[in-house]
Amino acid sequence: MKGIKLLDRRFEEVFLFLSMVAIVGLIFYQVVSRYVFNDSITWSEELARYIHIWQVWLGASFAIRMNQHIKVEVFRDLFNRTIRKVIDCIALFLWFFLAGVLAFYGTQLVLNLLGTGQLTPAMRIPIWIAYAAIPVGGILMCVRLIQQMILLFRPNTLEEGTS
Amino acid sequence: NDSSGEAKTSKDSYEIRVAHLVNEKQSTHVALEDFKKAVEERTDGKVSVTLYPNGSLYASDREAIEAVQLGNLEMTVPAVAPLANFNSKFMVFDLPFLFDSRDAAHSALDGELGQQLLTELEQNDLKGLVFGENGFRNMSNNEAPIEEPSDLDGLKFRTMSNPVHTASFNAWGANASPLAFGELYTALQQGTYDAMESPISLYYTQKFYEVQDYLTKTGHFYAATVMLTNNDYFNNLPEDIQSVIQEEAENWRANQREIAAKQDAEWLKSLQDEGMKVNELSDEQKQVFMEESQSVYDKFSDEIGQNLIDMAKDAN
Amino acid sequence: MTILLLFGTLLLCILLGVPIAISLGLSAIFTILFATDFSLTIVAQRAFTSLDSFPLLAIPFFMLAGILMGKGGVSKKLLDLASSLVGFLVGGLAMVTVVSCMFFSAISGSGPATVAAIGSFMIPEMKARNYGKGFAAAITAASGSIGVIIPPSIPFVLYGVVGSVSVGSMFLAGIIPGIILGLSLMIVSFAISKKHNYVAAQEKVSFLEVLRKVWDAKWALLIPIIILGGIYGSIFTPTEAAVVAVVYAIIIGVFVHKELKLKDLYQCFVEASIINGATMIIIGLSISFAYLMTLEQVPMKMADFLTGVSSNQLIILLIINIFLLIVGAFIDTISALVVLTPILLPVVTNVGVDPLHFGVILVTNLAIGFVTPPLGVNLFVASGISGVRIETIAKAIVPIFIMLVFSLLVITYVPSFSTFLPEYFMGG
Ligand code: NA
Ligand code: NA
Repeated sequence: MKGIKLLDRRFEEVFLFLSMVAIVGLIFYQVVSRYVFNDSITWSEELARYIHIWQVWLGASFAIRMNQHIKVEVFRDLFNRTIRKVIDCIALFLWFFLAGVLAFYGTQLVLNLLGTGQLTPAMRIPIWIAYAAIPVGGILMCVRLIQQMILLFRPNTLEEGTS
Repeated sequence: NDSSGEAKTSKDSYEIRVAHLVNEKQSTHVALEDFKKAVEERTDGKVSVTLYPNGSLYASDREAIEAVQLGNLEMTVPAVAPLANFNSKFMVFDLPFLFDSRDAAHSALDGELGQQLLTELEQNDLKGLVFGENGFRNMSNNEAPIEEPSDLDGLKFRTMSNPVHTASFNAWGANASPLAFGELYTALQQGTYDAMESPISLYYTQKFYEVQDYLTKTGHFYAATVMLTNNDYFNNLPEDIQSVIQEEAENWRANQREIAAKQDAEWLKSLQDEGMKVNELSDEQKQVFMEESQSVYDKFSDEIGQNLIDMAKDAN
Repeated sequence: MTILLLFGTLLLCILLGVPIAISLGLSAIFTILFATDFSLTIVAQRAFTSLDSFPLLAIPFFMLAGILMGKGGVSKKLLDLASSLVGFLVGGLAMVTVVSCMFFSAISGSGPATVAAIGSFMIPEMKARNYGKGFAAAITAASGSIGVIIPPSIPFVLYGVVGSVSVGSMFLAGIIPGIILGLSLMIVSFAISKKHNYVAAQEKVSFLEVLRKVWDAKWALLIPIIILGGIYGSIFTPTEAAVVAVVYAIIIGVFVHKELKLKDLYQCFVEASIINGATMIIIGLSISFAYLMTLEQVPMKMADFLTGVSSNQLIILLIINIFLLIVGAFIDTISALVVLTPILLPVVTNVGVDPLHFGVILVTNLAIGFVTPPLGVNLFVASGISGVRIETIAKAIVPIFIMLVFSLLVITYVPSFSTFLPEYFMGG
């Protein structure tokens, strides 16, 4: 139980922190290297971009837990508690469908790229490693959305997300 | 792996969406308009062709090639450089001073070398129809005319994000690094970069003459383009339509190269009118550059395949 | 038909309370499924390629730098400086709020972050001094909008990327319009304060005292100099500038102000990442929506429509302003920028509007959208930190909104306010 709680709270979080530190380090090193060592690195921007894409999709998943996605709630707020729950439930289902599309078609895309062997322009590593952020983000979102669904019906089992 | 292609065999109308990056004035697009007209006429409107220039549908060649590969786009006309990420044989075009002249390039691309490369693409789910061109790439900078590699010493040189290109410029002594194309104009204006290289057409259409003083006709890279479709999609078209498309692709090639040559001459003159100082390299001067790039050939010849390099060189 | 499906699904999803980013993605998915023969791999591909851009990386780091500076104790110093400058005027606390938001804007790239950083001090303070609680929250929410006009600015970065306009030039273009918006908010604060008899916050202070406050706030005031000076001195790109600002903010927070502990750093990094995730997926998903619009040739139809109504630049800009104010009420800034920039930019450049000037018009409209319900992110933040109901703030914001629209018209019809600085410093 404690393990699950730790996973719930920290799984994406630790990755988000480390990746942010990595990008800051990478770009700062790029600036320093240009002025201090007079040497331009050709792969740092590409690596930073790919880490960032991973960060975005994992961050989007964690943002579900932390209730940070931007939405319009005035219409839903017009209704009483029961109807509101129904609307929230439909919204979560729709969202789950999108996350499922990203997970499924993202996987297809990655398998396709594995087959065709495309490489990244600067580092010349397989590009599917970067693309895998999409299906992984989609799967994590699915998990977080199922969790939200459970929270919707049993509001006291887990503490409310805060930022 | 592409199911949409198979479903289409029985259809009586076909839509070919062509997405590319260049603007409406450039030869690739101008010739595509004739291609569109001819294909639609010759198939009695059974095939309709829609053009999406300026990167309006796909913002980069890499993305558009990938979309064709996935079967989400019927056709694109990318520069060959990004194809090297899909198939390393295409790195042959990244080598400096590969072709001496346009004619040599054309005869290699329309002959055995070209055919071999186009066949290569089928492994990548792509069907290459013909090679067009963006022309030779030339160098420019804000310091002085370039005559020998030492003139590049210490220049902050913008190259494409391509290891062979960066290696070539570093071999000639430049401080080369890639930069997003969208940031290039400002970077040159502000002096973050001193120098760049591109085909003549881009100097004119993107107004680089405003931020670069010296243009040297080095012709260090030959920038081919290739008309690409999805392999399954093409093979599942009725045979009569396939042959119309193949023939009109060849007409497009002739037409595009002719317009490109005319535009290059015209725009080079416009660049001079705008105040760019233009110089040309003599054969001896080119020879010096070529010798100083031997390390690049040595480094990449295994990956590309020596026989492809020889085939290209034999066309000169 | 396709367009109807696209917009119908979008509207329905938004009304159901599905996040905007997800609504855009879903409408693209349903349209692809039911109106085209494409595979949904397009959505997955675009979710990647739309974010594969180095200039976009400026966005998370301008967010992070703002958060670090906010937690590192600079908000208080900026407030003190603002008080010494305008605290003696009628409606002193409201004036101080506007001016400190302007200062904080030069550090933060985000509107809501600016509201949070300044509002958490100023709204309680104003309430304690008997300011109307609606007005207190409303003026803070509106001042926060300046966060995206005075550089650095997240929407300007995005507009630069989507519209192929130099981000550095956009930053310069925003300075004067940002000051105009600030002045107009001071004017409206003055009028409202006069009416309700909100008095000055303090005595007028000596020039020497002002200088002392400037000195106290020096570490914060250096940030805009580092960012703008770095970009215009061609020392680094906007993305690199954002990262340098982050490193600087860490050094100041940890070693100079000593208010940031290692644990705070961890929290700031995570907080920025979460907001970044929620923001960036809007880009990742709205680009599929924009793709379907291009495929349906909406940009061309829109251009034909607008130029059919009039070929007069002034009238076209007026129509676009009205349209954007309506869009800004319902849609967040990021999605509106991704979807509308490719549609509107070619139309206005065709009638001779400078892309830099249009960027300022577009972002100013959307910045006003930060404070218009139903979707007004600054309203939400102001309500969150003050406990004042959205409805109460929305009522109080009406005169402020009118003043903002007036400034928008000034910015729209005097292009040189936007183009002067970029032309002066960057030659265009
Ligand atoms: Na700002
Ligand atoms: Na709004």
